[in-house]
Amino acid sequence: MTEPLLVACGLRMNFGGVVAVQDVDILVESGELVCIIGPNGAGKSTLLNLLSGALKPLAGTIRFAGTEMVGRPMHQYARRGIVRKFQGASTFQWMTARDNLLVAGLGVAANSSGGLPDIGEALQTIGLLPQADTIAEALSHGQRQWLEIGMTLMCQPKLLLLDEPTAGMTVEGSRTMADLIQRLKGRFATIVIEHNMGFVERLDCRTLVMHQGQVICEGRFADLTQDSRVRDVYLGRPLRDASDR
Amino acid sequence: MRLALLFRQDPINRGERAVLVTFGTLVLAAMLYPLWASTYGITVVRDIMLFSIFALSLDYLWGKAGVLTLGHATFFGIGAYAMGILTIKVGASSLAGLFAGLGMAAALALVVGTFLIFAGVRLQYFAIVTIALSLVSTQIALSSSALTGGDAGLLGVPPFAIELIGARLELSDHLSQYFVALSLVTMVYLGLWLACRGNYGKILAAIRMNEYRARSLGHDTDLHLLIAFVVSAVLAALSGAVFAAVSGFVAPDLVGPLLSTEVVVWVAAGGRGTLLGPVIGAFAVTRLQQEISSIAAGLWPLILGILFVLLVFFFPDGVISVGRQIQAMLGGRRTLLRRQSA
Repeated sequence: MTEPLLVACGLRMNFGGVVAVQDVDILVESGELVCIIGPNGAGKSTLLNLLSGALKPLAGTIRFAGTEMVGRPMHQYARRGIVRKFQGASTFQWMTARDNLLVAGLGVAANSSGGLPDIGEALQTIGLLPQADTIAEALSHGQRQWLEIGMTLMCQPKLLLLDEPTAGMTVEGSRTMADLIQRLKGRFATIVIEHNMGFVERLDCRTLVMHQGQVICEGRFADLTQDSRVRDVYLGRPLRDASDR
Repeated sequence: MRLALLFRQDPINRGERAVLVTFGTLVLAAMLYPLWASTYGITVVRDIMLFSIFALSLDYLWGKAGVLTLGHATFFGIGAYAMGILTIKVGASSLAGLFAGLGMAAALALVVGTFLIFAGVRLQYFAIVTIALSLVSTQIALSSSALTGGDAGLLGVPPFAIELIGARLELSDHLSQYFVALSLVTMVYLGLWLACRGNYGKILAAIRMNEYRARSLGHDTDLHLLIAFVVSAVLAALSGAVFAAVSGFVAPDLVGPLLSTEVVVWVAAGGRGTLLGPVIGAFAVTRLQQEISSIAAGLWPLILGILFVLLVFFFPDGVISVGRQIQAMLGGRRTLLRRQSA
C-alpha cells in the first residue's frame, strides 16, 4: 500500500500555556475531500496554520508526498503543493484581479518546471471574467473570496486548505462554492474548515470534529449529526467520559 | 528560479509610453543643455544627475520593494571613499576604486540585510537600524583620518580614467564627465524600469502590499527583499564612486544622516515607486537647495524639514502626481456640484 498524500502525526501547539492543538493525527489521500468542524476555539485554524507551515508545531511530524515538512519555510510548503486560502479575504488590494492571479501563480511556477496556469481559465472558474481588470479593493466581499480561491488554484495545489470559504457569502454563493469544491474533487486533495453546517452537509465527505484541540470523532457528516458527543460539543455541554455512556 | 518567467514583459501601454516620452524629452534636453550652459552650470547638472542615480537606487528599494532605509548614504559614501582611498592612498586605478566600492557596498548590504531581513526586521525597525548604520559609518569616516582624511575628507581624487591596451581614456573635462553621468543615469533608469515593469515588478508590489500572503503563495520574500537591498546598495555605491571621481573630493557629509535624509526627500518629493519622479525630485530639490543656500546657508536643513512635512501633507504621491491630483480635485468638485444641483 502506498503512503497517503498527507500524514500528520501527533501535532501539538500551545500558545503561552493554552493548549490549541493536542496530539492530532490526520491522514489525507490524494484527491480526497475532508471537512473539519468544531466550535469556536476548537483549534481548527491553528491546525490549518500548522499544516500550511505558518506555525511550527511544538511536537509532531507532517509528511507530505513522502517529504518531511516541519521546519521548512512557509514558501516551501506552497511550492511543494500545500496551498492555503485564508479566512477572510487577503488579496493584494491595489492590484487587479488578473494581476492577483498572476502573482499568485508565479510563486510556484517561477520555481518549478511546470508553466503558469492559464489566467483566463482561472477567471472563468471563479466567475470573475468581467472583473478581470478591477482592483481587488473595489470588489465585493464575496468576489474577493472567489478571487482568493482563484489565487490558490493558480498555485497548482496538491493539497488545498480552505479556512471558512463561505464566510460572508450569500446562501447562493456558498452553494456555488460547494459545487466548485465538488467539481474539483479528485484533481487535488482538499481540507475544508467550516462553521456553516449546510455547506458541510452539501460537501458530504469524511468529516473530523475538533474540540479543545483534539479530534474527538470522525465519519460521514450524516452519521456525525447522530453522534451524542458531537451534539454535546455543539451545545456546550461537558464531554462525557466514554465510561458513563 | 526561471528568470524568463520572472522578467516576462507585457506590451508597453499608454501610460508607460507617456512616461518614456517624458524621460526621453528630459534626456534630450540634458543633451542640448551644454550648448548654452556655463561650465559651472554643466558641473551642477552633472552632479545632480549622479545624485539622481542615488535617488533611483533608493526608489527601487523603497518605492518598489517597500523597504525604507534612513541610512542609504552609507552605501553612497562607501563608493565615494573606496574610490578616494584607493586612488589617492593606494595609487590604484579608477576601475579598481570603482569595483572595490561596489564590492564593499554589496558585501555590507549582504551581511546587514541577511541579519535583518531573514530575522523578520521590517518597516520602521529596519529604518532605525539603517540610521545606526549611517551614524557608525560617519564615525568611521571621521575617526580613521589616516585613511579617510577625517573632517577634511580627501581632496584631489584623480579623474576617472580607463586604460585599454595602451589607449588611455580620461574623464578630465567637464563635458565628457557630463555625458558619462547622463548615460549612466539613463542606463540605470531604463534598467530599473525594464526590470520592474513585468512580472518581477508585480511580485515586488505584492510583497509591498502583503508580504505574508506573498510568502504563503510560494514567493521567497526574504530573498527578494535581500536582493533588492544589495542591488540598491550597489547602485548607490556606483553613484558615490563616480561622484568622487568627477568632483575630485570625498567628505564625511557623503556618508552622513543629512544626505540619507535628502535622498528620502528627493524620492518622496518626486513620487516614490515611479522611478521618473525621484529623478525629477533630485533635480528640483537640489536646485532649490542651491538657491536657498546662496541666500542663507544655515537655512537649508530647516527648509528641507518644512518642505518634507508640507509635501507629505499635500502631495503624498509626489510632484509627479500633481497633475493627476488636481484633475481628481476638479473632478471631485464637479461631482459635488452635480450632486448639489441634482
